[in-house]
Amino acid sequence: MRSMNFIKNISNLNTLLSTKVIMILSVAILLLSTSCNKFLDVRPEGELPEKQLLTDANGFEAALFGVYGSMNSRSLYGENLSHNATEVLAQYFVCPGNNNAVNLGAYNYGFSSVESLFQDVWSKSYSSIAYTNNVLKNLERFSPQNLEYYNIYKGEALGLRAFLHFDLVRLFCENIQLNPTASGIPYSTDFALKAPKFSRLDTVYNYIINDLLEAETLLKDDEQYLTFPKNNPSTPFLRDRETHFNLYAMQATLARVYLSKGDNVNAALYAEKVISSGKFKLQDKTEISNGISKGMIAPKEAVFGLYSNKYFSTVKDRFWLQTSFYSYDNRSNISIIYNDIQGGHDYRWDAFFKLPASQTDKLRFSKLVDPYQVNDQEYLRPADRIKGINLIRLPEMYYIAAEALLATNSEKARNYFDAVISSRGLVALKDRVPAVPLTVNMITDDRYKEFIGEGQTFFNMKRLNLNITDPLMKVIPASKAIYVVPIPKIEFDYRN
Amino acid sequence: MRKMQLLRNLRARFKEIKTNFEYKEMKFSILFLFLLSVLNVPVLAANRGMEFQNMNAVNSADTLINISGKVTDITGAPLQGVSVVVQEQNKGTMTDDRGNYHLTGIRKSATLVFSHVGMLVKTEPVNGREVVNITLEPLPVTTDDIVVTGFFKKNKASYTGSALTFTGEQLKSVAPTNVFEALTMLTPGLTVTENNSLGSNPNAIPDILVRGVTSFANNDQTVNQPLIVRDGTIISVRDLYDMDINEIATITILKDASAAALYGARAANGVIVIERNKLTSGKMKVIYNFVGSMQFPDFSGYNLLEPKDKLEYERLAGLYTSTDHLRQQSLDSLYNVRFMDINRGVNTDWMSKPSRIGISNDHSIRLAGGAGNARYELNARFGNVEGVMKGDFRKRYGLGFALEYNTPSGFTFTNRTNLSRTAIQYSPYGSFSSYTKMNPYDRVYDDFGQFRKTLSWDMNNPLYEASLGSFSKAMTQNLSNDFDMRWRMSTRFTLTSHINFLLNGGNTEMYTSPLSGVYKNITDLSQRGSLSMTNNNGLTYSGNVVLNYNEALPKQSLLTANLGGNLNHTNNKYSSFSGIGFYADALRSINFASSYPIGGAPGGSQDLNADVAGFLNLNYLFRNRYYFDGVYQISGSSKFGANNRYSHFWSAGLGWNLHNEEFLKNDWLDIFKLRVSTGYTGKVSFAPYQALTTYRYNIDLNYLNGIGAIPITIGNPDLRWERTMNYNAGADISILKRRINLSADVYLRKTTDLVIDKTIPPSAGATIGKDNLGEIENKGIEIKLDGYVIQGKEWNWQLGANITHNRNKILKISNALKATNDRNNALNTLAPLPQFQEGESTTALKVVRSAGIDPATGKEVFIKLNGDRTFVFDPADKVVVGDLQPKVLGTFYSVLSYKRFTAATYFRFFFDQYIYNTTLASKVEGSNPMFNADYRVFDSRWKKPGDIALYRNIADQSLPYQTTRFVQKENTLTLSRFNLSYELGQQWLKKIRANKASIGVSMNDIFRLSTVQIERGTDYLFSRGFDLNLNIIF
Repeated sequence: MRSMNFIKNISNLNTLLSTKVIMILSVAILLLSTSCNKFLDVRPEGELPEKQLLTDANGFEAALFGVYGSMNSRSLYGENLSHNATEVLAQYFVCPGNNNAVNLGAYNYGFSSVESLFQDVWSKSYSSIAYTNNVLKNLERFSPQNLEYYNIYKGEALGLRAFLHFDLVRLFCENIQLNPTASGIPYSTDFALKAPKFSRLDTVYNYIINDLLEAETLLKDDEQYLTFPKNNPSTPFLRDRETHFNLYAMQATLARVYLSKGDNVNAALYAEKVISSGKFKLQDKTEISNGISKGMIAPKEAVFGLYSNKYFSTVKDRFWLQTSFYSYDNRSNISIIYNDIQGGHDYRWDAFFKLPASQTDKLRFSKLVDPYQVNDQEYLRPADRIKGINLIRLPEMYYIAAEALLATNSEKARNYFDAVISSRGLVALKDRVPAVPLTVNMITDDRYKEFIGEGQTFFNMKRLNLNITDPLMKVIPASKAIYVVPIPKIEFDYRN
Repeated sequence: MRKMQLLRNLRARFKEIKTNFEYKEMKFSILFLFLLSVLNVPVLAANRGMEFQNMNAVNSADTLINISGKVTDITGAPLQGVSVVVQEQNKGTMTDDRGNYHLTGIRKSATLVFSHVGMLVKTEPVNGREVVNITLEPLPVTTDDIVVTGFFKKNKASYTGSALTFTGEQLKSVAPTNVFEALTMLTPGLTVTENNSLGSNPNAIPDILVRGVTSFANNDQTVNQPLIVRDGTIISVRDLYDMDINEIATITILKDASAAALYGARAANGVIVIERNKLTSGKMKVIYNFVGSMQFPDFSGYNLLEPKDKLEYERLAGLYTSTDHLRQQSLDSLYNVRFMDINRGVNTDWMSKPSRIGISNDHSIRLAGGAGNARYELNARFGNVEGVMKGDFRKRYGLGFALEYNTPSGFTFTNRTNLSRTAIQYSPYGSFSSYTKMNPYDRVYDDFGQFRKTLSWDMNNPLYEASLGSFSKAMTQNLSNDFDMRWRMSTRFTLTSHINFLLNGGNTEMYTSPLSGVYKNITDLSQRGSLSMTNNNGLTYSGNVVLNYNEALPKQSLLTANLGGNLNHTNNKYSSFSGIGFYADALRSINFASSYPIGGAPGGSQDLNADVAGFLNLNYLFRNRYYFDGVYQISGSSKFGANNRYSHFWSAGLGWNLHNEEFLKNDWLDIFKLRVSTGYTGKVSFAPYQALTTYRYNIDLNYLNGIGAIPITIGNPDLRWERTMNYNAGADISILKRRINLSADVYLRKTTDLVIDKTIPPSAGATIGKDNLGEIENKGIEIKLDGYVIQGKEWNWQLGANITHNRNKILKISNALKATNDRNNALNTLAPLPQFQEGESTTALKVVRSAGIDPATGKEVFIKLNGDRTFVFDPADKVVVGDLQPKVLGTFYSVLSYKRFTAATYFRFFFDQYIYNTTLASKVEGSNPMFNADYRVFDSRWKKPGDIALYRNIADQSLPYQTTRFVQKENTLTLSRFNLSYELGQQWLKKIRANKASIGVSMNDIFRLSTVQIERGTDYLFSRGFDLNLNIIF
């Protein structure tokens, strides 16, 4: 009965109060149109449109973590730019029967799998760059006033963008010291489905330097956040700064860039900034021989490294195990390279390699293999040992300072160099009888030993335009054909 | 009484209007006039003139009288709750439980309108009478006069589009168990794509196409499926497939823009609108339907080798020859053993092993009735379909309840609740193709009656695999609730609303027995056997509100307008996981799994989207001769960013009822209608993140002190809706008292802005982006012709035909598709992969021309593009040789009835369809001699120099190149259905105390004549058989 009454009431309204009907209708239409947009703003869990994610600290931090996480991919520093492609090009490793490794070692860039490998490096690098660009683009809506760590976010993003571009330049462009007006790469500063224009090599260098210099001022606060010994702040994003592109990573990259460009003054200046910051220390020879940085972001020395929990399985398969056609063996004269007894015992030999345990075993390259994981002893891991990939370590700054100062201040240069080799157990050049003067070759040779598996050596040889000696001791003369990886065809195919 | 008072107040307030014309109606008219003026529709003037005429008429009112009367149905039973409205006055009432009504103060010249749900509306002039008794006739389920568009009904006399409506009864009379088959048979322009691999698998949901494809799709045609709407709610093809055919009142197929624009944003592939049975009042009826079916496997496409020939083929192919002396000896003895076996009479019929006679049944019962203001219906259904492969089934359960209530004031509330469940199981026997390749000289069992696990040439025995406990099954469950409200505000205005909630859930389970051959090489028992499970559940809600306005204008003119909006929200979640290590075949539940797969992780996904739309429809019929129909729709979807979230769709149509013109008025012409329509429809076929840059968290981006999120891809904020421009022109002609009817339509559909992949230089940060780049055109003709050869009291004979021709053409593709083409082109797969080339059809067949087999070498000679002959195959020499879609297809039928008997025959045909005969390419040439093959391998292949053969050297086992030798033109004629039915007479009905009963037999796929011999039903057999159906109403 009640419902009947209710319905009758409605019908009374119907027949008489038409104004109300119209009002209700118009209000409904108004409500409908305003709530439509809200109704349509739905997204599956775990997916957030950029305008929703990049609105607060958490969002920007997730987006930056995303960039670091993407740099971990095997196409980039998770494999190819750390221990695989670049190191085969530097003739550290061999893998007979593995077409990819054989053709890489022969600088046969046209071989299909090699071609696709570098195509991956190219596209994934630009993807990561695009991610940083989107962070930068969205940061424009904010300022240090309404976003506490605005400067840090912006500094890291700018720095990463420059860092990634610089590695692309080192791989895909000519040596700037030989041909500064050569064609470069596109310098990407946007996040859109449109390819950026190609720039001249020297212009690209300028873009890189500009981005880095801008980052330097933004990252000023790292002087407090990054301490030696490490004293982590409570904010998660500010913890373990060596896993972020921090102020010193930025300075170190600048030192690299200037050295590549041939600007020794600035190279030395920035290398010394990092050295004198006091935030990092060279490991001593006991630490080296204890292998405290095996498969980890080097304690004390790492200026910038990527945290990775997948790196172990990648390097284990590649170096620890002995899988035919997959695992890499060391070049045959590796022992001679390290055990040149002239300067004493090199502790890196014991630290970087595992001697064969039996007749059938081969020498294994163990520098990157995390002992806690390979021995199933995770519980023994000290709290500060971070699994990951080293991208910039302190010794490089000593090499850069030494090389950059060699012509102007050979004494200081030799001191820098001696600091590194003595920490590795070798007798300092100064202390040898008779004292030995420093040469660029010595730096190059020591770099070769120091940076095995870290993706730096090939670029160093390219910078100095060195002839390369392959594992069969054949000398491959320096040339554009070996030092310049062709830019993937697909980059040009769809440009309009 | 309060009512009257208020009305008086109102009148006083608006005295200046100086009219008793109802203010309410005025206001609505003004609202509509405003909308009309916005749209610049010229009918405005006509409409306004009309209003004033009315006012004048009403002003000259006469004396008032009191009226009473009784309303009954045709059986004489009183009808309660009939609404009686005085058309010119603001008055109305409802009949009481004895069907009586009483009205006071009615003008002598007034007109009464009697309406009741399920009954025809009756208009009766008072003419001074004081007693007006009325008999209302039931509303027939008819499809002649209205077009159901899903949101509202349209008058067919003024409908400008191309639409066809069928009743459930009509569909059942064609194919009692298969809605899809019936629709294809009756509708030109609608095709169900025959899947040669899946055959008659009852668990394979068919693909439907309306007027050709509008998207680039490799094999999956789901992107080209039409939209299906059931009582205003969008449902999936699967829902329609599992729907009880007895629930269907009507099905309407809307093919062009003028109808489809209502669903504008999703209607690019056409719309199928389903209306369920209306509730009727009266004493309770019990309606029972039964369909029993027997299906037999159809092996007619198969012509496998006999044991003797098979062995000879093996010998000729060189399987028993070796250069190694010892090996030759063992091969010789192997040959001898097999030869002896064959002579002993071993001839295993492998094809019969996994097949069976499928017996199915389907029961559906409805209890319906009503008294007074309320009606109800209860229905239940159980159906079990078994296919022709052993062990599979599709079981459908349904339970429904509907209740309807009418108020005297013009409200109707209807609520329908339906619970349905479908449980399916796939045949444990696996793919049929694994049986057709078995050798007939192999025995199934060993001497101890056990399955032989390994057969000749190291093949696994598929029957052993089938005997294990492995299974694959799935279940889906829906709870759907529809609530409808209809409010007849006045004779001119009706407001309807519809709300649907759909809860759905389901799961799939796939179990592989630990004894399966898959684990042949795994010794660790904890790694053998696996069970994968997926679960999904979701909630969809949708609703619409439509305000309908009808204005009868003088001189047989009519204005109809509909203003409405709808929304839809879908949220489905999926999860999956699996367990491994089942220690015994009989342990088949997840709790017996010993662990998760190594490195395995649970999976899952979510499908969440929403859309809204608003529309206005105007229809104006002028002097029952000329009519205009216009639809405007605005659609918004959550798949777009804020920039392009909304899109506009429209359609406009014009029609001319020539038969109402003076100069064509004659006895033999009943209908002669010309109509044209044009407009846009659209669709969205991409994921939301492709338009709007979206970050996704990913556990792979775990970064020490936090988790990372990266953009899924770079969004294209300029991405727009895909739109199809439709042009349709048609004519409907009926002559000789509708004895001969012809409907013809020509159409052009141009789909532009197709969202396809675009390759971009990787330095942009992504290599593939989505963009509105593609264009496809479909044009065609559809003809529907039927006529009564005999039309009499006892004998009736109807003949009819539907003919369709569609031509599909790609107008524009992107660089990424071109690259895919090149990749597809270079691959030598069994059948050519799709090639999308501008100027060609999406289903063009591109192969290299062949000059036949060189009699000297047994090798194939190819013809290059420039006509040169060569032995070297080059995919660049491919040319388009035909289209996989037929040029002309259709059906023709004959329905003959004598008294209560009806015999109906339905034929289906198609011409000029090109096929790439995979049987020839895999079972004749390119066949592995270790497997059984088509008999042509023996007859038609080159064996020695000098042989003029159709197929290559018998020893050559490599996959043949894609050439014209395997392309065949197919013309096919199928006798699809032969139905016999008998309607029981009164004597019989009395005996079983039924009101109505009919019985029928329907035979399907009786014969098939084709120019091509190909193995049909490679993974699942086709079937032929008959259905027995029974329909009783108590």
